[in-house]
Amino acid sequence: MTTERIQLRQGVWLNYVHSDRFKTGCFSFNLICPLTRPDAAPNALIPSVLLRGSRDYPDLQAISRRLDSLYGATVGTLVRKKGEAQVVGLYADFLEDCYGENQPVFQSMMDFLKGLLFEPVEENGGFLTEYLDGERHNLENTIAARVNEKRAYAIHRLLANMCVGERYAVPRLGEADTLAALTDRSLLARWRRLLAEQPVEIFYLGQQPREQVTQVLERLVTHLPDGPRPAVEAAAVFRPERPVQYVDEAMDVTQGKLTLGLRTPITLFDERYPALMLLNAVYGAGMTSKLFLNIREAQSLCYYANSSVDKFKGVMVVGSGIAFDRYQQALDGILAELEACKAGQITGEELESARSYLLSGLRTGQDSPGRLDDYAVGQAVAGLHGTMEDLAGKLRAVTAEQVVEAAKTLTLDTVYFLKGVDQ
Amino acid sequence: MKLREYPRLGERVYEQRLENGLLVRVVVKPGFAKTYGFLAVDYGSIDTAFSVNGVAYTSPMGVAHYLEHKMFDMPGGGSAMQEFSRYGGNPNAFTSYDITAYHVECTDHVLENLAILLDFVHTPYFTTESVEKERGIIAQEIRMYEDSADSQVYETLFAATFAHHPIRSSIAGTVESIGAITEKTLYDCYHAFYTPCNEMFCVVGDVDPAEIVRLAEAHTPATGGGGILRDYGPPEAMTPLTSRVCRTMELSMPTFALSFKAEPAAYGPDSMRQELVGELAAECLVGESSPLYARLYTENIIDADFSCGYEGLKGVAMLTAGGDSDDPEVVAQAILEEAVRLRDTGISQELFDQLKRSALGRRIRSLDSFESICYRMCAYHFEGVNYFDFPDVFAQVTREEVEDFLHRTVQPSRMALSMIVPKGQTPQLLPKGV
Repeated sequence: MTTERIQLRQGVWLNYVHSDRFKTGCFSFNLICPLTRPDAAPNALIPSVLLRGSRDYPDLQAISRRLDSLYGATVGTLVRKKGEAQVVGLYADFLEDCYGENQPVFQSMMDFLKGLLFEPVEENGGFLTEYLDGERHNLENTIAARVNEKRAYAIHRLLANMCVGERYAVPRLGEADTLAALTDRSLLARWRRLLAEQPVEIFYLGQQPREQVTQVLERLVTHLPDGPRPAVEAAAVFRPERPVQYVDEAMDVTQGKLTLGLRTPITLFDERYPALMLLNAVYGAGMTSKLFLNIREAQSLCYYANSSVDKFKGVMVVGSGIAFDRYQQALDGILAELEACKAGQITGEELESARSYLLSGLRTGQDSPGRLDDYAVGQAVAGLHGTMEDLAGKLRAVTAEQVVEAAKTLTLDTVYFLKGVDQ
Repeated sequence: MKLREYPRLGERVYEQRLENGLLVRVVVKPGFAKTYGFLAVDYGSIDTAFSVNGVAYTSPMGVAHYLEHKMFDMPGGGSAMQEFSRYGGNPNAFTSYDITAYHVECTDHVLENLAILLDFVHTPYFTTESVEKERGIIAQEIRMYEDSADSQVYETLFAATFAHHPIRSSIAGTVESIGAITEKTLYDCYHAFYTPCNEMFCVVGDVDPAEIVRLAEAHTPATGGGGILRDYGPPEAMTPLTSRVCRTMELSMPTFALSFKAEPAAYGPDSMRQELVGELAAECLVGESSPLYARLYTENIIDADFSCGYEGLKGVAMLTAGGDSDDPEVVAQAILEEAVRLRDTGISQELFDQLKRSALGRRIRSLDSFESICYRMCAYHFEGVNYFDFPDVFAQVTREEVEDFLHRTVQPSRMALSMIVPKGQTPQLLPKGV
C-alpha cells in the first residue's frame, strides 16, 4: 500500500492510496467549512439535494438504476464534525474494474460523480424546489430524530449544556430552525460559494494507478473555480472557570444515561496528545479499561461505560447506561477511576493492554478504507501530515508518568443525567 | 486439506474437517495486517426446546445470549479478555436468533490469539455467584434495547407475525425470563450445543492454512458430540397471528416494520436460492430502483432510512420492509397495490437483470469485510450451503421465479404491520383509506 498527498490545484488536495487488496474502490469529495449554528444545517442539506438528480440522471430512479448498472455501486452523503469544523461532501464505493466482466467502473463512476457535484438539476437559477423541499423535510425529521437514540441523545444534550457559546455545541447536522428561510436559489448560491471558497479534500483508495487517478481528477476539479481557499480553524480550546454543572432531564425511558464532560488543554497539536490517547484507553476505551472492568464487570453498575476524547477540541466524554437508582454510586465510581489514574494507580498490565489495544487499532486501520479516509480528512482539517504509523511510533514511546500527567490535566465540567419521568 | 479456488471472486478457501467433526475454513488474504478468527456455534435464541441423546430440554428465553456473556469467565476468577489483552487481540461475541459467535481481530501473536479463542469457548466455568452477578448487566442490556425504537419495532413485528415459533421472543429474553437461568441451565445448554460437530471455525487473513488446522486440532475437544433435535413448535400458518400492532414511545416520528409470511426454505442449497429470490423480489417491489420507492420517497412518505429485504431462519421466512413514516398504513397499502400491478404487468426484464447485477456486485464487494465472510460462511454452512457458491446461484435465478414468489407472498392476508408512534399520538389500529 502506498499513500501520497497530491495538490491538484490551490487548496485542492488528493489523498491517493494505492492498494490492490480490496474488491471495492473508494472515493470521497469533501469541503471543509467552519462549524457554525447558522450554516451547519444548510451546509448539511446540500449533499442530500445533490443526490436527488443531475442533468444526465435527473431523478432518484435514474440515479439508482445507473448505480445498479455499475454493479451495485454506492453513492452517499457525507457530513462530518471534526472539532469545530464541518466537512460536507459525497462518497462513493464501487466494484474494482477487474471484477466487472470487461465493463470498467472507475471512469464511469467519476463521470457520474462529476454530474452530481457540478451539474445539479436547475430551475430558475436554483435547485429544483421539489428536491429542496423534500430533503429539507427529511433533514428536519433526522434532526428531530436525535431523541430516538438515547445514548447519542444524552451526549448531544451534555455538549449543548457544557459548551454554551462555543461553536463545538453545534451538532453535526445543525439545527432545524436554520432551514426555514432557505430558498432554491439561496441554497444553490451557497453550494457554488462553498465550491469556490472552501478547502477541498479528495480521497481515493483502489487499484487504479496514480497517473490515471490524477489525470481523471485534474479534469474533475477544472469545474472548481480558481482562487485562494483559506484554511478553517479546527477548534479552540476553552477552559471555563466555574464550578461543576449538574443537569438532569426526564424522559420516558427505562434506562438512565449518565454522561460526563471533561476538559483538557491537550489536543492533537500538543506533543502530549499520544499520552492522552493512552490515558483514555486505560481509563475508558476497550475491554481492558478501568471503566469496563471495574464499573461494568466488578460492580455490575451498568451495561456500558466508556470514555472518548475529541482530539481537536480537548473534550472527553464519559457515557454510561445505568439503573436510575444507581446514579450516585455510578458517578462516584466513574470519578474514582479517574482519580486513581491521576494518583498513578495504573498497573503495568493495564498500561500495556491499553497500548496494544491502540496499536492494534492503528494497524487494523490500515486495512480499513473507511478509517484511512476519515484519518486523512481529519489530518487535513488539522493541517497535519502524520500518518497512523507515525502516531503508532509516538504511542510506543509514551511512559506511565506521561499518562498520569495527561490524566491530571482533566477537569470535570458538566454532568448530565437523562432519567425517567417518575424519578 | 481441500483447496477451493474462486477466480471470479479472487478468493482461495482451504477446508478441513477435523476428526472430532469440526469444520475449519481458512480464507487467505495476502497483504493484510489483521487476521480475523471466528468460532460459530449453531445455537441461537430460537433453540430453546431440544433433545439430545433422548433427553428433552425446555430452557428459558435468553439462555444462548446469557451463555455468550458467561463464556468469557475462566476458572480461577480471570476473564478471557485479559488473556487476549496480553496479546493485543480484540475479542467480541454476539448472539443472534440462530447462531452464537465468538471472534477476535488481531495483528500480532495470531496463533496465540486464535488459541485463546478456541480454548475459552471450550472451557465452561459457571458458578452461582458469577451467574448471579451477570444478571444485573444483562438486565441493563435488555433495558437499553427496550428504549431503542429500532429494536422494539422488529421484536414487536415478529411477535405479531408468528404464532408459535420462538423468534417471537427477543434474543436476550426478558428481565423476567433471565431470572430463571441458573448455572445448571447454562451447563446443560452448553453441553448440548457447544460440540465440535455443531460448530465451525473460520480464519481470514494472511495466514498459513496448515498451521491453523494444526492449531484447531490441538485446541478443540477430542470428541464431537451427539445429534441435536430442535423443536420450533408446529408449522406456522401463512397468516400472521395479529395483523396490526401499535405502541407508543418517546419518539420524534412514527416508525414501522411490516412482514409478509413466506414458506420456510428447505435445508440445503434451496435456502440460498430462496434467499436470493426473496431479496430480488423485495428489490423489484419497493427497493431503491423500483418505481414505488421513487414515488413514496418523492411524496415524502418514506425517507432514505427505508429498507426492505428477505429474512429466513429455521422454520420461518418472510419479506420485510421498514423505516420512518408519518403514515405507515399508506406505505403498507401502496406495497399491496404495487404487488397487484406487478402481477398484471410482470417485472421488466431489463430492471430484473440490472438488479441481479447490482446484488451480485454488492455481494462480491462484501468479501472485503472479514467479519462478513466469516459470518456468512458459518450461517450458510449451518443451513447446508457453501457460501462461495453464490455467483452460480445468482446465475440460475429467473425472473419468473421471482414473480412467482412475489405473487404468492405479497398478499393482504399474509401481512403484519408493527408501528411505534410518538407519545401523545393516537395509535391507528384500523387501516384507513382502504
